[in-house]
Amino acid sequence: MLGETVGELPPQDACLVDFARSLTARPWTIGAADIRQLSGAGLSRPSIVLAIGLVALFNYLTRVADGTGIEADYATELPQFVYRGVTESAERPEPADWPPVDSSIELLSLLPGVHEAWSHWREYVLDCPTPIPETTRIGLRTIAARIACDGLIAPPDRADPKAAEDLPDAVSAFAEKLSRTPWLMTAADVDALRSTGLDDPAVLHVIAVVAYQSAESRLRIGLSALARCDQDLSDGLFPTGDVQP
Amino acid sequence: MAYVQVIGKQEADGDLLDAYRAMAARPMPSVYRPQHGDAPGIIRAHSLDPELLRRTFAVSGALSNDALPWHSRELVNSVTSRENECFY
Repeated sequence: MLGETVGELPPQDACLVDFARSLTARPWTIGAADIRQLSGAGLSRPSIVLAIGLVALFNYLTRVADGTGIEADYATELPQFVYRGVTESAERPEPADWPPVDSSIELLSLLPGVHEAWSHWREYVLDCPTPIPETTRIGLRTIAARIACDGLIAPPDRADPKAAEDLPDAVSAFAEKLSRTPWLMTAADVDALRSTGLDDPAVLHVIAVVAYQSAESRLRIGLSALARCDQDLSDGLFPTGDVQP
Repeated sequence: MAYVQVIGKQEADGDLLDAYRAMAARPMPSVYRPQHGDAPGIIRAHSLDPELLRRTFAVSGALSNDALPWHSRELVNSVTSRENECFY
């Protein structure tokens, strides 16, 4: 998986690779056509929901790993991970070209226990009154959602950008960098957060909120694309039967 | 050394120690258990907030679902990390 080609993978896995790459790096491009490609490769509706959930979760975990600066745990016989030296992320489109996003994550219920666990997680990350206040969480979410091109949280024509604008510059810069180019995070970025008066539990929550919103925006974009295929579902496009709601 | 304070299993007590024990009791392939004997780094990264730790990894546990085979789940996870230029 350290290479760039997917040509030798089975068709289902090759489609999953393409989808994971797009939903991670260019979530604004995800639409019903991507879902049809997955289903056309034989993937069921629950398996597509699972793929979307995994991509979303790993967009959280990688940002926490990069934001907190943890080190690798595992010895491996695989080739050593080599950074590609990417310094910029893909250019974002104008808000008018962002994908439509639904507010519901109910489709997670296609997988036993996932909707409940995700909602429980969401409630804590977004609503916990400490160690950072609600207004800070809203500001951080707005930045992360905007960089994911998620109009549900950061709608261009309905936005109340004040929460983001009111963040200290170092905090908003941290959120912007962790959302857009998490691989460039350094200890100096965390030090800049501390310079605003945040202690380490608060720093962890800043990282968690930004990482969470980066995940949730991709989750919603993916699930929304799936929901738009409902007509295809009713027409029997999707294979059925491997996992029941 | 991590940028944020991290509390390992040896130094943990109370709520955090309970969370670590619960995580270690979950069924998982041996390949996920680091040889250093402590909790995996991504779990320890959450150590300043055991409740955040518990709720986050409840999601990862729920997503260990056979709607996709294990190798395909690992593939999706690895590609996502790779796309984010992350070793994790």
